[in-house]
Amino acid sequence: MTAGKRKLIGPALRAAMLWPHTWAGVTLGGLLMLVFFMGSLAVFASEIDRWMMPDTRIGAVEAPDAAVSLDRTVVPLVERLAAGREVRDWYVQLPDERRPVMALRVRTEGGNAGGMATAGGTLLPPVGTLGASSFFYPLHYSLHLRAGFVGYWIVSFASVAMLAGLISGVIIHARIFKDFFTFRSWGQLRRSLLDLHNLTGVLVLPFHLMITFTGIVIILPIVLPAGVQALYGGDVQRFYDDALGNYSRPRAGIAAAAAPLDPMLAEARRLWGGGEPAVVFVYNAGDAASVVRINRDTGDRISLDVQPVFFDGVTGALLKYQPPGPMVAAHRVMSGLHFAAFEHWPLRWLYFLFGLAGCVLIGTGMLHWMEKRRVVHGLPGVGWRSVAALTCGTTTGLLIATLAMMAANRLLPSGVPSRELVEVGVFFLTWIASAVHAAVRTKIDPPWSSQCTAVALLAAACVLMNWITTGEHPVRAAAAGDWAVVGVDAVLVLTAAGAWRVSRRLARRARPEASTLSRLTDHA
Amino acid sequence: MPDILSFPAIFGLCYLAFGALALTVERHWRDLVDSRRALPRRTVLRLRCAAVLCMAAALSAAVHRDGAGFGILLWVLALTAGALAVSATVTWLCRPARGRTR
Repeated sequence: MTAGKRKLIGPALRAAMLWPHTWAGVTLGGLLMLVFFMGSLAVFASEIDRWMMPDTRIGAVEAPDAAVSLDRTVVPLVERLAAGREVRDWYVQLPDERRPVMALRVRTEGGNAGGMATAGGTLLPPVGTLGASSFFYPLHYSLHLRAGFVGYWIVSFASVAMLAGLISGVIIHARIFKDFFTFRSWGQLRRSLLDLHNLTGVLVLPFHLMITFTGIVIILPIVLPAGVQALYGGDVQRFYDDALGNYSRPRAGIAAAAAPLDPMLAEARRLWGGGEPAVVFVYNAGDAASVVRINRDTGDRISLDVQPVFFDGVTGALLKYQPPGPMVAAHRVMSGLHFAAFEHWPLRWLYFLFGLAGCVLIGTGMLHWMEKRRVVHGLPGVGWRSVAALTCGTTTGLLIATLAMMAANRLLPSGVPSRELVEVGVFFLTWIASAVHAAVRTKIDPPWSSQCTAVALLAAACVLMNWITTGEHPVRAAAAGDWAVVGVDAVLVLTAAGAWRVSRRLARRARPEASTLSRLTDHA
Repeated sequence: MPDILSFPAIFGLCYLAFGALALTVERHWRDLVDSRRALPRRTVLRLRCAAVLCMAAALSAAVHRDGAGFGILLWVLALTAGALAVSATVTWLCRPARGRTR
């Protein structure tokens, strides 16, 4: 058996696997770091949203029997948001445990309007930020390059490289079982880095394979468009209408009074056999061809099947309710595995931690490459310095940019024009600045120590500024049961403490002569 | 079992399972248990049986807690968390010993 195994994975295969593994890591590592880090943040997008939108930090939703009435509460809100203009379409995300407010979006003749409101129907002042759910999360899957799906393409290309990297990594790793638990934090830095790379690669492999594979599967119609191209002439919308049981029809142009919405909610609940509505869409509002769509909340299951129910907006009759076919159902389950939209706190924390473990995997891989090339080539050249700057810019630089955006979120006054875009500007400018700093200061080593100090100071400043601007320090938030704020603050404090310790240790280590000297005297 | 305790219990069982498996690794046995005598064959079998039992118990607790879908997902991720915790423990236990020999 051993001989057979040796034949299967021999030194030649390992050597052949090593170069794509190395090249994929060095070239795409920075992008993958961004994807994994923003994906980890997206797991707690709702909580970060509460932190970044203090007006929405209101008590949890009351029991389901006090559910929001669409006709009495939501429709007047839609009319207020439209401000006299004719409404074309609108939707509302109903409040849930993690987001105690309603989010509304209205498309009118004269432009779009949106807003958040309490479950009682009070419109909140504009939040003035994209928050985690509209900035960090889209950055994770589309890099905010939506035109022509360019961002999706880049991310899915990187994901396929990640999948290849994971599998080739397992083949390269010669001593999986002997080194299964081994992490030698002492001795040579290079060996410690490789140990940590192997450890996170092997132990978190099930999660990494699952999350990478399901990530590709979610956007499969975009990555592999041949089927849609052949059967639907490239019309992705029509494909989705068929596959997901959607329903759409054009505007009739004849005005008609809308049917009450609350009986439709009750009917949808009856069709689902339990379960709560999450999102209500009204297409062609006020028209004879009006359609109401009600999506189910998927918090109680893995599958992301929202089981949409379609009603005629004028008569209130059921138009379509079609369970998905087996392929679509499988696709929905895999999407659900990736999204982690379910109400399950231990799983959510594990997703967050293992996502960060993915960042450790990618980061240690790049650092190991840097240390190894330094030994092989001696004095660093241009290639080495660019990888070093890239690594620094996508690890500490990315952290600095994220924290700078959160700090700007607390510092910018609410009156600033297009405040949300100013925040986005702060994010990208800080990121560029820290990458340039890394590139300029990389001589023998990237400026790890100073960037870690910046991370620590920014994280601490975020907690303090949240306290000053909202009056909600962690102790008061905990007493009030505002766990979203407590959690974000706690992670920020941990980040600050960790980054500070790392920066002090690196600053002490930065003088190699001194440490060599002390070791010599120790031996003497 | 109260719901709040079941997750620590699942995690603890996974930790114990990988702790037993870590002792069957030659290097960790030498570092942690006996640096002179090699690992006896029978102990390996016993440790592996204990590990399998702990994992099975964790799986049944997870499925009991959350149902099949969520239970299996939670179990797989808790196994990884347990293994990472065991690896951190091994590193922490071995550190001073290695420091002295150096």
